Amino acid sequence: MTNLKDRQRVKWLFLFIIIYLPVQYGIVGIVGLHHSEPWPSFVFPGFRSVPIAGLQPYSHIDTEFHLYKSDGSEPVVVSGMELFQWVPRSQSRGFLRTHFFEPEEIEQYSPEMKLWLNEQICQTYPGRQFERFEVVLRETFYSRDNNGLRQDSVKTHLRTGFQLPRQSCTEERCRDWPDEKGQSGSVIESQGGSSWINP
Amino acid sequence: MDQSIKGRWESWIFDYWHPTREALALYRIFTGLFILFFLMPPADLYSHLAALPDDLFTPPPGPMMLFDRFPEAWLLHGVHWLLVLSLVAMTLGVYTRLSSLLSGLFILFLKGFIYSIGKINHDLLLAVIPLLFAFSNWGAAWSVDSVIRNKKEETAGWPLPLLALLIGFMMFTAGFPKILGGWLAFDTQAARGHFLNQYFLKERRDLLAESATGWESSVLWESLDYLTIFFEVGFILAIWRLSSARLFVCFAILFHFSTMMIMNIAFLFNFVAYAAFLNWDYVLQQIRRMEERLAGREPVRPFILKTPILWGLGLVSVFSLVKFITAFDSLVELSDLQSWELLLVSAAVPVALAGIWRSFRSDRICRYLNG
Repeated sequence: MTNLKDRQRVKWLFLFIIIYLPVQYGIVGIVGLHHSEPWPSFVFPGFRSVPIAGLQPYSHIDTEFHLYKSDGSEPVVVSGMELFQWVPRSQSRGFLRTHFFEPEEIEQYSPEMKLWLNEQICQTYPGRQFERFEVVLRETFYSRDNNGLRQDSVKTHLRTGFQLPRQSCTEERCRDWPDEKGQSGSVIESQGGSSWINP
Repeated sequence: MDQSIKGRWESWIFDYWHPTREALALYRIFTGLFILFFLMPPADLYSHLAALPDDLFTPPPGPMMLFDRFPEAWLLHGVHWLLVLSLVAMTLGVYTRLSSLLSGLFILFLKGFIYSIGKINHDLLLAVIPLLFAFSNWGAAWSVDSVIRNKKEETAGWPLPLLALLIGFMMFTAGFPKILGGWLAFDTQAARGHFLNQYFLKERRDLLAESATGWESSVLWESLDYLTIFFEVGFILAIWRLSSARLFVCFAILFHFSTMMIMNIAFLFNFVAYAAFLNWDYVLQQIRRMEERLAGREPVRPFILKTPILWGLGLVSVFSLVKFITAFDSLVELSDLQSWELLLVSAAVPVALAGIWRSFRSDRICRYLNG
């Protein structure tokens, strides 16, 4: 590069970036504490909180969805990755943690959100009709034996849910149920009720 | 040579790399085609995003907060096709600087919405490469621009040390929290914890994953903890010389290969950035040698005796072959790892090993470490 003015600009750019990188890292750290990680930012994931002690049991928390029919039969259990198959796996855990973790948030889902969830269920189970949707957070514990890790026990941390909109699933679409007068219309029954289950 | 701080600073920026026009063109064509073939944002996601309720629009802190909902699918598809066009233009060298900048911005736009469902990925370098190398004048040769302008233009090497700085810093941000988080403690095995999360939570169970659940040696897992931190934190120290940065890029490829084998994560996005550190002049020599050999064969002479055409068609053929082979694949089935990712990352391993071999053989690193 021969142009002196250009060289000067490039030097300033480098200086700016060298100052900017640690500053933005600090901002990412502070904002990330209270909110999610800012984007775009020049950071790679740190995976700070994954160490496990050699002799301790390993455990992980999963989000499950329990789908209840009106006939009182056992619920159909579906994992987050199965219900939202379109979510890239690299994002699935974060997606579930952001939207299906806080009971208050789940109870305040908008009617639009409940309709959308019903659509997802219809696409996963075409032709089947469910009445109630529950989010269940379960922690699975593993112990070690000579053959490696073995599932030991499961603890339920959260169970919360609501009535699904009155829609029938035909093939992969949802259709509004006809109401008593024979007119179609979506009725959202917000019967929440959640509980964090103490250990 | 000026050994003052100012002199070293200027030398680092301006003497780090003196790319030839042709070497930069090779990298430009490689980058454009690699993104087009393998790293495009997933278009099948757009209709899902557009159908999401507003409750699920959770943009990460940053510019995406300027929006309040997901856009219509046609807009996302439209930008996707603009991205394709700009990448093709960048590859062919049509308005190269503009098309490179637009490619980077379109990638950011699309990724921004994809990451507004509550989880971001760390593939920013994919957008940074075209944005940064737009200023290297990588369209100075083997481009429509160069044919039209018909004059030999200067190239700039400073984007490479800047890229090295960005990668080094980003690697540091990966390694530093690990030190704070206890990865170096002998009584914990963090790599194992991370692996188990991938295995159970994300159901990544291909390649060596199944067998790794039975690896009970704490020495082995602890070694992986240490190696990870050595590599991630050490990168920032290696960026000041091209030879040592190249060595660490080779380590990075081996690191990604091992995480792919055990955790089924390829991190292919970074490979476009790592490719910038390849010795493209050496690649150019090899292509020219091949060209000379082909020149002896009469039937191909009139058409194929153009290095960029040989390079471009060669890459298109190889990438198409990789896609074709893996279209019927069953190489990986128990994870979200793609077969072509497996092939590409594996193919980079011999290149990395050769790079490491050359680094140590040439003794540059030893001299560097000894001051």
